[in-house]
Amino acid sequence: MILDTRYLIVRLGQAVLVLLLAFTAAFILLSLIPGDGVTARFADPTLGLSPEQIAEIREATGADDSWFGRYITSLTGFLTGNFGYSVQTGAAVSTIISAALPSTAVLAISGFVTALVLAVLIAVFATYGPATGPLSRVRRVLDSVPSLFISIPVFWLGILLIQVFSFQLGIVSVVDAGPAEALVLPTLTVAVPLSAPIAQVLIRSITEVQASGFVKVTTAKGASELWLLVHTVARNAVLPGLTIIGLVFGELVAGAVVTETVFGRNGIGLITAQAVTHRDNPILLAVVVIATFGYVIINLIVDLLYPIIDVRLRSKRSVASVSRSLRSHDGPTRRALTATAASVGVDLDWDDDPAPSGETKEKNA
Amino acid sequence: MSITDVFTRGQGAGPHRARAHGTRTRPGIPPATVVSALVLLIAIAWALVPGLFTHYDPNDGGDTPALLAPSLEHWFGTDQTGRDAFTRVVYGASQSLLAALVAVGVGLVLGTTIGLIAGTRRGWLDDVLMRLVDVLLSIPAILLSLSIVVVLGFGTINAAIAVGVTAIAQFARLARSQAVQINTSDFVAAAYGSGGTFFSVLVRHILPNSISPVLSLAVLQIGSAILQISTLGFLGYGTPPPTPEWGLIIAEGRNFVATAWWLTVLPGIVVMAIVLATHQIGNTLRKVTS
Amino acid sequence: MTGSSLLRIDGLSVDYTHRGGPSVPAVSELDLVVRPGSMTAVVGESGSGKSTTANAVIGLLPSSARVTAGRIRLGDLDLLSLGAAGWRGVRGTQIGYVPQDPGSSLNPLQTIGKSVAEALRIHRRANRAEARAQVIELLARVGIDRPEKRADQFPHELSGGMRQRVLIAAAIALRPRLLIADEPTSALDVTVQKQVLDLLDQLRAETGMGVLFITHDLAVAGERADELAVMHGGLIVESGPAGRVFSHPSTEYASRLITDAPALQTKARPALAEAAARTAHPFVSVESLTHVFDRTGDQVSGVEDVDFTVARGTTHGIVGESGSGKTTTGKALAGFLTPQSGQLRIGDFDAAEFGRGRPSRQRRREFRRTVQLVHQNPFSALDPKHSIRSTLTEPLRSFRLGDRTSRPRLVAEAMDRVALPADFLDRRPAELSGGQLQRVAIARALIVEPELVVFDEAVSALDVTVQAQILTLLDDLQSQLDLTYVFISHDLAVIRQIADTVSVMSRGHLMETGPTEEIFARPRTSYTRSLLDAIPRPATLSSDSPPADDRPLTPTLLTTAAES
Repeated sequence: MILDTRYLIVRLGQAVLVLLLAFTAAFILLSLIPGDGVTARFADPTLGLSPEQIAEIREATGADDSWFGRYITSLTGFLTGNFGYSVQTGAAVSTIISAALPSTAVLAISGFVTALVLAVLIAVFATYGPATGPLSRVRRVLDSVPSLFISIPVFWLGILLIQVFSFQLGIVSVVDAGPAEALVLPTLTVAVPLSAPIAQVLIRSITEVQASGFVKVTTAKGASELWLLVHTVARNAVLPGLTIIGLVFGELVAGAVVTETVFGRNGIGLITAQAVTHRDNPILLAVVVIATFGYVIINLIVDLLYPIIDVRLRSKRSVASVSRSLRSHDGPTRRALTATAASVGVDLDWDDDPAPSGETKEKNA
Repeated sequence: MSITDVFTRGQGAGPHRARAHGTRTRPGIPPATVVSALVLLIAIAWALVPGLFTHYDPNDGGDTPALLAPSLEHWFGTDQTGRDAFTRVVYGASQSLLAALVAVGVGLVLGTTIGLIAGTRRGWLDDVLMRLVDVLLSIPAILLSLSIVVVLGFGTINAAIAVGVTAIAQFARLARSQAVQINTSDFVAAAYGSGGTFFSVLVRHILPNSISPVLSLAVLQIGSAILQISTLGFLGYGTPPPTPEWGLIIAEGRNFVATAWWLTVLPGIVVMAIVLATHQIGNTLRKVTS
Repeated sequence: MTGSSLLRIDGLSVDYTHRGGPSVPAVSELDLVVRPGSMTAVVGESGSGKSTTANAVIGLLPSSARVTAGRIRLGDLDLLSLGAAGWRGVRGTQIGYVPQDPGSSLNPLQTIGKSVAEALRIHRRANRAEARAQVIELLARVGIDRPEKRADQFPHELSGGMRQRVLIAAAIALRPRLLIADEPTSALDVTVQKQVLDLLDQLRAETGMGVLFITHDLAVAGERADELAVMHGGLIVESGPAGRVFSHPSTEYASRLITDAPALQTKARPALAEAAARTAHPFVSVESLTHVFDRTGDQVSGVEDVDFTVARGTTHGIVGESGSGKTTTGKALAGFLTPQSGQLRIGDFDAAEFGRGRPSRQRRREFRRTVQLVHQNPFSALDPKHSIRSTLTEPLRSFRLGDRTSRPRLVAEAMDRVALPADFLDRRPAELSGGQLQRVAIARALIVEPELVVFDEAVSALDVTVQAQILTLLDDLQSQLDLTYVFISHDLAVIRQIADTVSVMSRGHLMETGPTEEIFARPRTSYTRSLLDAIPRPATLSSDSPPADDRPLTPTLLTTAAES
């Protein structure tokens, strides 16, 4: 049994809790604090609505309910796919979003895949090859590429790509482009900054695996560099890479918002930007909740995938009680934390953390 | 969450314990770091005394022709109203750097406080705080900051606060992990054994030993804060025009990208150089302190 | 002795270049010979250059290292002239390599079977099916039970001793002529160490391969090796047949190593009056101490039902292998852990009371002063941010001992007591060596004038010569200050040297307790006997060492001990 049922249930429960809390936070921020959206929008004298009509609208939208009533209404709405109505256009938010989602999904997927390919190429060529000699220069240059990529303002990159590839070189057209051609530059814009953290994590994990004892042992058996990369290093180095896939989702969303704005692509990102400009909070709330849902789901999948790839986690789960392995902190948080800490040069010894040390803690206050 | 979360200049797998008795050779400062320090110093000088670097008015082009190409007179050319583009970039430094500092300050202070409390007190408080941090983390950073900007209103400081809130989670997690690690170390146990109280151990041992990675993260975060703030500025939610701000400058130049490429390309390079410099400095600091 | 040599190293010098810094010689002018079927041991303390030698022979020096002079010949082959492809042909097929740490030396995501078959696959000696058959044969050969099942398991499912056997199986898969074993047993418990060493002896006898054995443990080298080379600071200070080196060491360094090695000391401390240990009012009394973290079958993680007493002014040793519960006992004694049940009386304190009742703050403070703990790793026990002076002043301030004017004097006295110069006071821990740090840690414990000091593996992280100095220091301090010690160690020899009474622990249970010499001379349980039996005895020092195959134990007990 690879996955413990109880672990699965606890982990699912956690995901639901985080999602619920995130919804609550977004609701407070976007619905409660701004106060009465209906009055702000419809009480404008220029609209010429009579007080009765306004009261009717208020009745229909539930604006006079208590905050808790509105919270419950909104929550049940989200659970049933009813995200409310746009303050700007009055259209159903669910309609607006479902119209925009496919285009963004295509951009996100193509951007992500490109970023992944780019990152793997950078990481492999930055860590393999001669350590000395003229070719080592290539390694060092590639090693610093992620630093450069991460420092590029995404919006600027988009403009630059249009400038160079469309206006100067005329390779890719931005006006009247077919669906595939229109995707090329936005994909690159999303992919370049996204590849940087992935490449960085891969470089670090490959370097770490290369320094580990079992690589030395395998080398001592006469393995070539290629053998080591394929049979020994790759699988071990992929594990931290898997975590990063969950974490870069936020970057992907940011990339989509900016890229769609720069390229004028109709999609969730553009809708979001317009919603902010027009203070169309219902749309913003829906986008926040959907994006958070995406983040939670992806990290849930990564977390459930982990024991399948990393055999060490299988038996640990079955031996140790589930509650204990989850008590202090769940897997993704731990690994994300390790990544954060490693980014500032700190090694986290999680193994030192469990039960015994908890007991030794001083109650000396 | 920001990209610095996972960002690192790969450092070998050397276990940390080894450093204690490792040789303390002081490596020379790499030239990249020297250059980075220079870039940052210039940027700071731009922010503090912009008048030293340019004698044009950032907001009034006077009768200078519009959209001039870069020349010795106008290094970055002139924009659509004849304002000197370089001058606007120089004057933009104060807005952008101030906003970045505010953002990192918000994240550092709130995040570190949460992290230290969670990491040293543990128990239910730890669970509650860290679950909240998880929530902060699960909302994509750009959407979180946009939501906050919508509530607070557009503007430099509001954008900075919005970006700062997205950084809280990382500071909290790093500070907590540091506190947990230090809290279970032998020398903390020994300090309790020497009669120390919770508070004295926190101040004398836990805080000094856990703060340096947190500060290194803060420097790394300045770069990503500059990027995030300029993104908000580019989208039009930051500093209102005509006050120069880097994101805004690029957004304005974008309309003329076909004819006056310099209005977007050159300011973008400046932003990139400064962000790259903060990363370099942050990494050097991290290596020195660890 | 066969005249022909298998491996011959002539005048080898290796330098390490640090970036920008001058190159530092790690090994200079080294001559060494390994003959077919025999074992040559290279012995030295940390930093002596012994691992560099091993890495040079298998061509795996780090990129910062450079061979500046010398020749390494395997048979007729000049190893130093090999290119990358040449090395691939030699590694695995002619030279096998067994690493130090079995924990990190197996690919964690690969089954045992795949790891063992790796050399066969790399050198295309077998296809998948043939490899599997050979793997099972190899696993059986190195003494792994149920090889078919084990081949499909992952490294984390095996104990440390098992993993080391797997690594040996993988290294001998292609029947290499030379096996390099780099500290193959230093991460293992003593009973498991004996099994692994027996296995190496047996393979050597059967296949006629030569073994280059790298170790810090002089006793192991003396017991097993045919020839011995003692390294110090990159140089071979003494070499020759093992028996000769032990009986007539020709250099001062080698003879000091031999006298300092605790495993080689047959003379125990003169036992303090045994009657004192059995007085009606012992200073420390532990009764049915129980604190269980986890329980799987018979195996207890933590401690269960532990009883012993310690008389004032004596040393009580607690010995056991990893996972025996000795550290938990130590923590409970020092008040860092409140036991689930049982009594812990130290003087007129009840250590267990602190967790349960609500003792006054004052009382807790007094207890802390009475009992001090010295940790295993001196590198982590001192706050790196504080100077030695600040570290030593802290307990004085916390316990409000002395005042502003008298504290510097107290600190100076404490330094003097542990024989450290006063100018160390302004240094930081990073500027001190391990032994010096441990002295500081001891000074910090003693500065508050405790009555009981608990040492948790306090000398295990130190080199053998430093270890001997610290043990002597502790002995002197005990008689000067009338201290009571509880000394926790996995090393029977250290315990024998310092303890008056001893408790043997295994898997959370107390096996036996009593006066040290009685237990060493007449062990009452088979577990204690197996521990004693596993202590390496150089041939020249113990004429009555039993033959390797005459083990008084059932294999099951050995395996279970290994897994604890």
